[in-house]
Amino acid sequence: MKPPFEVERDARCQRGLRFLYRARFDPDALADALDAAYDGMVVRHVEALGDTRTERVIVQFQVEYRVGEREGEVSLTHRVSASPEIRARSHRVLEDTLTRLAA
Amino acid sequence: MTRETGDVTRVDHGRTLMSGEPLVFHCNHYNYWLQKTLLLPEGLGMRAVIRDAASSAAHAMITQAARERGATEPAEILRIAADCFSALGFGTMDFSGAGEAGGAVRTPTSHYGQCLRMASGADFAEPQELFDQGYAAGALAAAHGRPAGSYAARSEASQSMGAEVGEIALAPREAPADFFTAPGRGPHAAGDVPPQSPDTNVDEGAVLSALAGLDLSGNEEGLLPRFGVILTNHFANFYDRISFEFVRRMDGTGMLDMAEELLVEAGYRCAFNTFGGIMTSAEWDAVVKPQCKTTEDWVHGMVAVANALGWGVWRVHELTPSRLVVRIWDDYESTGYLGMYGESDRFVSHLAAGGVAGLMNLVYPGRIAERPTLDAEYYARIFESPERFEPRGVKCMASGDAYTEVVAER
Repeated sequence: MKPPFEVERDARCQRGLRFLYRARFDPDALADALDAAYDGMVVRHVEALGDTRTERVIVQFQVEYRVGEREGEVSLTHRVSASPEIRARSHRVLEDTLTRLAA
Repeated sequence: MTRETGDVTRVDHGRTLMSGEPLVFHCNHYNYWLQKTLLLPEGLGMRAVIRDAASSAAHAMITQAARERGATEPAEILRIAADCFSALGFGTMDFSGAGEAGGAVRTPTSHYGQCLRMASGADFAEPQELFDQGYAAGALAAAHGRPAGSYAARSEASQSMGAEVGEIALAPREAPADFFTAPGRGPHAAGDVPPQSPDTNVDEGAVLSALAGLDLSGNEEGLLPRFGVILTNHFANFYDRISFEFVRRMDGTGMLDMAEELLVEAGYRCAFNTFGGIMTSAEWDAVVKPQCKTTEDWVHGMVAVANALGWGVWRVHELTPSRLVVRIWDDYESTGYLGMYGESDRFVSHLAAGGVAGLMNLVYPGRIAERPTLDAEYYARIFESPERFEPRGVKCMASGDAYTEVVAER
């Protein structure tokens, strides 16, 4: 079955660190679901820029998810020191969450 | 995240100081390209120049920051040094293994150790953490009340070569008598700058106030991923010293023009990656793009953002699809040159020149509004195209002009 999201890999200055996921989701619901997936062990921060409200969900030393920067887009940026296992988990958490929200 | 750093001061003409040292934003790609350029010709002794420039700027800032915080004990001062290192996006630095007699400083994360590899796409054959080495040496000297050049530094483990954690060995030495002294803010332009060009739909004031609300300090790893690049809020005097010393030493081998061209090329790389990253970022889409009604607005919009980078005040004086004239007040290359060497008989603002032409290359032949993929192939296609813009330095504050002027034409 085709996953309910598309992934674009950053090929530039954040090569290997940053990925853009495109999907249909409610930004608040996604941020809350990511928070819950890490049992609340996240730092959340809302950034307002013009009319755009971005929710940053940060798992320290692991990953930062930025929800709402653009409609239908969430970025995943690994922390530089995150291990390959942690990076794989960070993708899995986001993909599972997007799949669950799309169901 | 609470960090104890030096005082941050906003001064005229878009400049920002931390404890008296001027700061400018640059990305990992520019830092990679500039360092690669400077280390390319062998025999110039640029590794020591880079280390010593970092040491001097760090020493000046940390000494002043300690005064501002009332810190007198070495351990307190080194905590401030580590916090500044992280806040400015350089990484994390652990001084617990170093004392007045020297020792080991560890960098669990490092911009130069880890983020230049993303720009290069591969490991390096030599350690790239020359800045970290200089910073550690300058910090230890500041903590123990010694002159800036009082410690020699060398890499014991390099993340740029694959080590998990960076390690720097510091050993006391007699400070060289001619050790470089960072000039602080240096001479700068007096008086007002003309307002933004009226020939645009972009409201620079609105752009600057929106960007002022962003947190542009290092994350918990002391790194600063933003606008699709990894930024540092770096010492202007560091860039100036290493660039001008490169030019001076190349002049000594009869390759002055080539040295200047290489620094302009580094400016192209900066424009392509930093400006290109910004102009395809979500932040751009949120703040600037809604104001862009014409192609020319993209140039004005990027100039507005550049005025938040600490590079001085850029003003678009003339703009057509085939020509851009930018006037710059207090460009950091001029002010740094004046502070370090006095008046110049040549144009010195090579980063600015490359940036102005690079911006036009992105907007016109590069069609940045169509969000192309900014990779090496695309760089070659637009910067080597017959349609490319090339810069000419017409006026320079370092040569006594009231402002610096760059003309980019094709």
